[in-house]
Amino acid sequence: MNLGCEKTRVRLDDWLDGLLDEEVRREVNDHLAFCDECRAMFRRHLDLQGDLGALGSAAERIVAAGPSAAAGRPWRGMRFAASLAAAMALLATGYLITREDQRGVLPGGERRIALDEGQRQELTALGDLMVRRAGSDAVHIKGGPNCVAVNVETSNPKVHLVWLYGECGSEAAGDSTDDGDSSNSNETRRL
Amino acid sequence: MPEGRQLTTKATASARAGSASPAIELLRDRLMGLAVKLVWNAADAEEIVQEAFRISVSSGVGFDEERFEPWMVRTVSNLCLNHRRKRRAESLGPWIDPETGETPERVAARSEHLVRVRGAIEKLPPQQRLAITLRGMESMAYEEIAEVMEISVVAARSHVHLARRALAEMIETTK
Repeated sequence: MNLGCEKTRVRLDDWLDGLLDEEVRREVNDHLAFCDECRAMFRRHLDLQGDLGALGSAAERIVAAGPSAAAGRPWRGMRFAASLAAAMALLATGYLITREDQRGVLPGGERRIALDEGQRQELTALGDLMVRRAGSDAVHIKGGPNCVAVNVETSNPKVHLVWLYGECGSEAAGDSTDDGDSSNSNETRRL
Repeated sequence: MPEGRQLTTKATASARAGSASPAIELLRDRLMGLAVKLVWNAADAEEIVQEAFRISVSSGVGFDEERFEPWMVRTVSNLCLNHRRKRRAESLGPWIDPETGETPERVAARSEHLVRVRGAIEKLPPQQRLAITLRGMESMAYEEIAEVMEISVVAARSHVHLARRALAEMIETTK
């Protein structure tokens, strides 16, 4: 059986996606062999499919190279790294709170962060991401009755970030960033 | 210092050694890939992925939930579609894989063509743009596309079909 143009074109998507069974695929190919118009149309779509694949591969290379290489300029520096660290710190803190809330461990007084091994491993992975992306060495998390403060050390020793989650007084921020160097840039964010 | 108060280098070392959720990092890389394919700027993509993680925390979606990954893919996709570009799109030249024996002129021409294709994709309606990106660049099955976009498989196929037609026409007219 020889398919007409209309029946061939209806099968274009399945042909591109490799979803046609063998017999129908052969019929489509038979039609394309003698129909210039349909062949040109299928060719255009096949080329487009190749272009999309090439764009996808280019995007993967951009990701693999990282933001600084992709932008063709030096790493944007502390501002970007710090915001990244802060976002991940927030993530870790919010996660802690969520997990503690779920477990009902919210007594009055200081909120202790005590994690079981599974939780610790998950948090460690997040912390690892955060630390690696920010070039930081450590993330300090401390708590109060209604507050968790996260102190993120960044790769710039003069820049510390403190994220406060909940009702935090100035003490939490002060304690977390007190390193005796008045030239340090301590950024405190409240949520 | 109370236990758990500090995520120390010791803990991060164990993560680097592979003992802690490499799945999160793999997911992050996957999301970065998707975001770059939609916004074409690595720094913008990075911000979007971070924002998606932040939203996941405030939404209470657990990392251990089965729906977490599709939820994150959907969130990143939506953030990308609503994204107003802050920085210019990456140039494609350095990132194209040259074919064997391909001259620099030919690579430059191909890069120019791909920039046109990318521009055409950005002109598509958001649903079509997302569907064709997921299908053509991420090689996702229609069932997965339907799950991410929260539509039927038939609708997912329809968006891809319409996007292909529109792109083929746009590219033909710009030649």
